[in-house]
Amino acid sequence: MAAEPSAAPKPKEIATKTAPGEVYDAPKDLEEFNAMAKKAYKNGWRFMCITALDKGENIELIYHFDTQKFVLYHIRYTVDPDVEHVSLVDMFPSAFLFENEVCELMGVKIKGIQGKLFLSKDMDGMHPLRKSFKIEEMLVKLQGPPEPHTIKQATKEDLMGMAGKTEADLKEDDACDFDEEEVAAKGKKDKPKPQKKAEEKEGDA
Amino acid sequence: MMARTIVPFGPQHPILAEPVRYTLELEEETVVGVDFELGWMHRGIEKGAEQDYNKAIFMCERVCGICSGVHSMTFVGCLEKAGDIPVPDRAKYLRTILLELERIHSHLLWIGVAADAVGFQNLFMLTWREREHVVDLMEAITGNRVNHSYVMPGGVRGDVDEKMAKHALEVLGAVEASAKFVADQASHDRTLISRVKGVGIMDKAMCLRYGVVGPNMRGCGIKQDCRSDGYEAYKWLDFEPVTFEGGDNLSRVMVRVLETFQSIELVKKCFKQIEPGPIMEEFKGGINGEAAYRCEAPRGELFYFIRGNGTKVLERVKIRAPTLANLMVTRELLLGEEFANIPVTILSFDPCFSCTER
Repeated sequence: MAAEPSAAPKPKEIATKTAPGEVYDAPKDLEEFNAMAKKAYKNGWRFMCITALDKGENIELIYHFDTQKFVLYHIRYTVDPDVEHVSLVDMFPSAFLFENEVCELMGVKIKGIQGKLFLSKDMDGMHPLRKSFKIEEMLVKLQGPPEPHTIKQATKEDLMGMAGKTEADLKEDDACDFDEEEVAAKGKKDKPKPQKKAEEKEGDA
Repeated sequence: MMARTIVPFGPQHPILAEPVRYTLELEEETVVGVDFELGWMHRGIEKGAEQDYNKAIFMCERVCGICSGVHSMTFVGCLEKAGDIPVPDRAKYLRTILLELERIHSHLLWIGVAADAVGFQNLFMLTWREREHVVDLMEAITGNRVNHSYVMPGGVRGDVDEKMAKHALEVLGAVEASAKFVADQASHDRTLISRVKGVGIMDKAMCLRYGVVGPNMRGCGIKQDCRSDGYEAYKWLDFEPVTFEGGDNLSRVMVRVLETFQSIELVKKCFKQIEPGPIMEEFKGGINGEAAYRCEAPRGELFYFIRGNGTKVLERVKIRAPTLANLMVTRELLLGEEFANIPVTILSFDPCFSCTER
């Protein structure tokens, strides 16, 4: 996933690269923004989509238009996510889906737009494209807090349960398997061996 | 007042390969209300692509399983525009060859799916047979059938030698001949024509109002195609967009049929004009800048916007796939249609919902 740029000294000026004729307009206030959108509508430019950029406290919206002459036209406008922004659906019906997308994924408020498109109902109030969004927080909200991992010593009952045996089976196993005297004799036989080896080693030295 | 019936169409439907839910309100057989619901395929690729751009190329390629090449192409186009990366001419030609082969394969695939939806099984098998040759050709050139991983910032990953070019031209010749035969047979089929002619009529004004893109737009007689922008090698190919008057399902079919032949011609032209030279300019370092870039995908205009802050990690990647722009018009277009025509009309837009939801 997105790694955060670690301790960048100071953000450099990010240049906007344009093709010949491509224009980025930046209206100062809402009135100017409306005038520019109206200009695009009157010229018959095709509405393409909205890009939302997370700028910390504010969110920058870029409205992309196609002038139908192989040139793009963009309007960039910074909005406060707590203040309701105007909708362009009256002029461009196709803006409906893109405005919903911006509301849902970036948390912009737009008049008359609910912001329901891709995400499930459980994710109300979460905006995954924000930089402050954390997947862990989402999981906690959807599935509850994660259960702590503990290591438990297995008891005799647990082991019997795993082997599919009962107490009676176990007693039967104990009863039938070996003769105790024979085992004791075997133990005696085995014991002298290491002593012999030790003697041999001493002899070699 | 006539009784109204509500019929759900999807999320699982035999003609749709991908899930979308339409809720249709019917009065007898006529549709009087349309609503649609998305959200079955949302994978959060925009968020996932906010990472090292070299890895994000492969992430963006996986937005779509049919037009994967054009997704990586548009993303790389954005990087090159934002980072002022030069590209050699030979690489531009090779990219154009890939994009056009992809268009041939996508259109043939769509014609087959549409034929299947109207009940013309034979046409489906014939077009998919031809498509297979094109996919094999893409595999021979790039090394992969679907996710090619071919386009990189500054060039392409592999070259095409003379032997391969000769083989490609032979394959394309064969595909063209049999596609012509199939198109000829299908265009004289009365049953097929009666299913698509005069159905789902979209006029020019509606098309512009809803911002419809791609072959659907050109099916209304609007001469607009991003390839006219002259990106990659299209500026050297004397490209002229195909249009068809009518705006009904038949004209949308015809635009795609004609574009298939046009794409074959474009690939042949590319192989003719291509000159030996380097295929890659090495590029390393961060991307400082933001840029918008668009390409003509098989389904219409594909738009990307990226913002890089000087490091390798991108700040934002915005993807606008063609189907999201084409979707809104169906709310108006399907009104007044007969219920039996709805599947064909929805399919005539060549919808791709995994692109739409990303």
